[in-house]
Amino acid sequence: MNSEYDYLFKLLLIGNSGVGKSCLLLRFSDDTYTNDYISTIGVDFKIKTVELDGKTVKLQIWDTAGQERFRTITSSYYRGSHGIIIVYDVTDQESFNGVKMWLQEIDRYATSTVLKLLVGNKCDLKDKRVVEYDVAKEFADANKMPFLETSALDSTNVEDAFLTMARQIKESMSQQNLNETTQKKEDKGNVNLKGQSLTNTGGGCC
Amino acid sequence: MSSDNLTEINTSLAASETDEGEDDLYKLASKEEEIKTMTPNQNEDETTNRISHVINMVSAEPQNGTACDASTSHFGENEKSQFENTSSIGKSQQEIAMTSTEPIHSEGKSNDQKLDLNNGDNKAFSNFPKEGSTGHSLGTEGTLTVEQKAGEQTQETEEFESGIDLNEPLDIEQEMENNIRDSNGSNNKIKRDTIGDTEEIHPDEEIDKKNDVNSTLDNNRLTENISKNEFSESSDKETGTIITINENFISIDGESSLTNTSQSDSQSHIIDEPVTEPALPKTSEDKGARKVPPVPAQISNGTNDIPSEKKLSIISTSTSPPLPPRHTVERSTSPKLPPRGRQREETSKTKNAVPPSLEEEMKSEKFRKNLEETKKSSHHHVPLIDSKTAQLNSTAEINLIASRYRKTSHHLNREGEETRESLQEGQSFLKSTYTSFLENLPEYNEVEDVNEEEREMFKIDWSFWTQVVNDFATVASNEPEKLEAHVTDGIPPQIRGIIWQLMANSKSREMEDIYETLLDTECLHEATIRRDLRRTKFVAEDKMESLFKIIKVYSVYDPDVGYTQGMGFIAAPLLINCDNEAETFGLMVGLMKNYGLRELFLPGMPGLMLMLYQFDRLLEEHSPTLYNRLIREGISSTMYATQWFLTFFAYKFPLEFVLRIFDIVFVEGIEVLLKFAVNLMLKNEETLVKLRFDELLEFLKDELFNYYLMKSHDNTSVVQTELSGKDTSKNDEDRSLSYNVDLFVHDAMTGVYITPLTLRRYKGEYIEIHEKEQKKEDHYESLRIQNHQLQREAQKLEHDYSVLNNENISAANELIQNRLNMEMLLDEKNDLINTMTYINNQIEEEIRKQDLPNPDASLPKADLREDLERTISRNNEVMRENGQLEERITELQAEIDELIGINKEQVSTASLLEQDSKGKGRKGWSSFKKVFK
Repeated sequence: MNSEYDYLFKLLLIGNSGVGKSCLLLRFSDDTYTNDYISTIGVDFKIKTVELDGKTVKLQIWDTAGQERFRTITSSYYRGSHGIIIVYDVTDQESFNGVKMWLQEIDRYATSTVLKLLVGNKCDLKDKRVVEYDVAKEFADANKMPFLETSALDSTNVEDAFLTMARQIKESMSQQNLNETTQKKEDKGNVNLKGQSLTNTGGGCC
Repeated sequence: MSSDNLTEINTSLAASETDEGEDDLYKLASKEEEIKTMTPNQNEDETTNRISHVINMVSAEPQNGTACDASTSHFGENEKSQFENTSSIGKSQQEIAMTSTEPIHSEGKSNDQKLDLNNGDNKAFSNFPKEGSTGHSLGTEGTLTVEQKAGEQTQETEEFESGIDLNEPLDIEQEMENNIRDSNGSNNKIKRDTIGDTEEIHPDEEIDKKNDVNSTLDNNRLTENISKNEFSESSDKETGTIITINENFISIDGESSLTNTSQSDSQSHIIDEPVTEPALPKTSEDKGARKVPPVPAQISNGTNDIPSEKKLSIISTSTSPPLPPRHTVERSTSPKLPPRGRQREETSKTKNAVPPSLEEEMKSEKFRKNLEETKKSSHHHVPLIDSKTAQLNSTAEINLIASRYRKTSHHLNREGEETRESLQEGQSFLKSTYTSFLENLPEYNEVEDVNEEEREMFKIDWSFWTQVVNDFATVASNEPEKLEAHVTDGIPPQIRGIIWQLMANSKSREMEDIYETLLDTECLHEATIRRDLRRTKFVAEDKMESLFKIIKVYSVYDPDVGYTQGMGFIAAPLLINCDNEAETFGLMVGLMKNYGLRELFLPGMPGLMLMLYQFDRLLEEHSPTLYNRLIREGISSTMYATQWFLTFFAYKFPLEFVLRIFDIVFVEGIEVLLKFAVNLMLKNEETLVKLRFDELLEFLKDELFNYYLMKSHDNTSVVQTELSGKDTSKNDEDRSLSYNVDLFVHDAMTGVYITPLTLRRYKGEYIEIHEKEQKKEDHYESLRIQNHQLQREAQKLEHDYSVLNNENISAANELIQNRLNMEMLLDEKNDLINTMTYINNQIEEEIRKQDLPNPDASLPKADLREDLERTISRNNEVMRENGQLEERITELQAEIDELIGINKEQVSTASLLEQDSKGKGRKGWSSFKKVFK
């Protein structure tokens, strides 16, 4: 591992075209905003190093083209990701409906342990909002992922979103490590509990 | 069109020619002498040689008349080169001999066909516009000749046979080789293409027939030749006749015999070509040929070109008397080599000024194999009838321009009549636009006060561009190098739109009508397009709406592609250079459909994936170090090159680059993007290999073109300051800076050599890999689905299992309960059994008892009532008696009482008595008592 950082997390931004993935990333990495950010062709990439609980975490963030036919290219970036941020546009119902499809994509291309985060972008556009917070929150809960509303324009929650993701990954990593060690210990003594219960009940009667 | 083809034929000939010439005329003359002085003792071989030689000489004669210098020099050249290439002697010579003998040998049918053949050929000639009436007369002569030949030659057959006889093995070998190749399906294609090409000259079906005829003839030849081997007549005595017959040939057929032969020969010649003859040398020679006044040169070439090989061979075989030493020397140097391969080598070595690397590549076995493979892989795409000449076909294998042009015209050929007319119309419109533009151009001398821009204008080779405008087809197929050079320098911005449209052959009324019709059609992508355009400043504000319309109409026009992000980058430069939206739309459709750009935009982006693969391979080929470095850093081309190819580099590159890239794309096809891409990588290699992953990606995306950044703003400065990407500022900041775009384009065009052949090879590879991956993916997908199902099944089973487990527990409990119950029941049962046994015993006892004689049983049952009555009456009696007895008892009681009373009286009396007797009676009573005891 490189001495520059303690962790290297690979994040992926997905979501319908035009929801503001690139702007979100630009805000997070460079803390700038531009209204005419050209549509991403293929994939884009940014690096940002953050401090997290005293550890240096390097975030390698891949920004993808939202248009469906770019999936041939973008789909190959799912596998290596630790965390995937699904972005929708709170002023665009269609983009929220698309989240379901994006989850399927994750299910299909990413590893099963990948962490997900739902982000509703453009929350500064209060007048145009069509996706209510509660609806999205409920949906996120149902799919067991954290949810945030952000605005790349006024930078609401942008950093939070990425840090939430990073923290989640870090926790899950240490959890995994823990699990692995405990599992090793447990593995020696324990056999399948179910099997045992079965024999127990079976044994009782005979 | 016809002149176009003529020149193409020219170039095919050029491959086997040198620029040497006129002094060979002398040799020719000497050879003529030779024939005249021929002795009857000469062997058969020589005889035939002479015959055919004379034929050739004769055929050259009319040309000499019209364009003496050109034709003779050609002739001479061939002769000379042939001397150097002895190896091919036999082969071509026989062919001549054979073609002339064929009508005799082949049966009626093929004879007729041969006639047709000639007709076809002559037509071909008559179609050459500049030849005029001469061509026609030749044509008629040709038909005549064949008949005459058939008649006259019958007696001469034997002589010709003998000639054939000697050379046959070679010929058979060649035929076999051809057949083998044909069966490989590779050369077959070219062969057909060739025929298709000729068809363009004379659209009749005859050429098709010719194809068939040729093949049958080939077969005939094979078999005939074999049988002919059995003849072994010497022709010595007939030599005299031969000469006279030759004279007949001279007077009658001359040309036609040549054309006749040329047909079959051109085929074999062409078949070889893609393998052996690199295009570059050809084109350079072509240029040489062009120095000759165009019309005569064409004529001479037209007649001369194809049999050239033959002539060579004839001359060289006939060397024996005048040039014996050379002949033997040549023989001894390469006796065993197969004639073909040998000749190829020789030709290329001696005549072709090819870049050695390419030549090496061409010669290598691997290259040929790849050629075959790629051809095979693309074979099904190529329709049987093509509109290009053999020259173009072979050049197209290694030259992008030719390949591009071939595709364009191929595309054109598939269009309907109307479309073609419409395109024609569009072309002429463009031409007139160009002409009026040129007319308005100020003469250099007229203008005294020239500014910088105007000065630039005069540097432009307007005559060349006029040529391009007038006949792009000719320029593209004959002078690809010149064209490339000019386009590389940049198409003059004033006529850029015109040239683009001409090269893409896109302008047509039809397209413009389509555009107008679709303009108002609603489209699904409208919102997306608008959003993308709004956020990207492609063109000036006032052109935004046009850009939107063009893209929208395209998405309606081609619903499979619809709208893909990145299209704006393609449409914008087109719009800038076109007069109106409809033209832009036409150009865009041309790029998409004809140039194959739509493949890149289709869902799944197959074209892009292919291009990325080709890019990877080319990069690997050109700089393995860089390629490996990138791989090791984990960078794939999809990360940075996607946007290059989808937007023609417009995504990040300054417009000046993009326009020049478009120039090249229009002339060479979108494959040329690979050149730019690879070149950029190579130029920046030094920087790239130093960078780490993150920086690498950023650099690749934003700073590659900074290599061409100029410190000074002087565009014309020749001295270039090469800046490494690191030193230069970022893209956004250097908008005001200028780049050496010329160098950029030149580097790409000269630094990276890409042939369609290589690309096709990579395509084949890619398709294979892709198919495998697809299969894997499908397999994975099916496994995934299966896994999903199994998981669900497992869940269900688990659920079922827990249910069953519960059931099991309760069942087990029940079982226990039941067992307990059973125990109890068993106990009970035992008890019951005991009880039963007891009862049984009792019963048995009872039974036993019952079995004993029953006192009652003896009683008659009928007597029971009687008995009862009797008993009752008895009872009554007894009762009565009882009553009587009770009465008696009472009587007796009363009696007793009476008696008691009496007794008492007696007792009282007795007591008195006793008292009297007491004294005395005591003793008495005591004694009584004693007795009583």
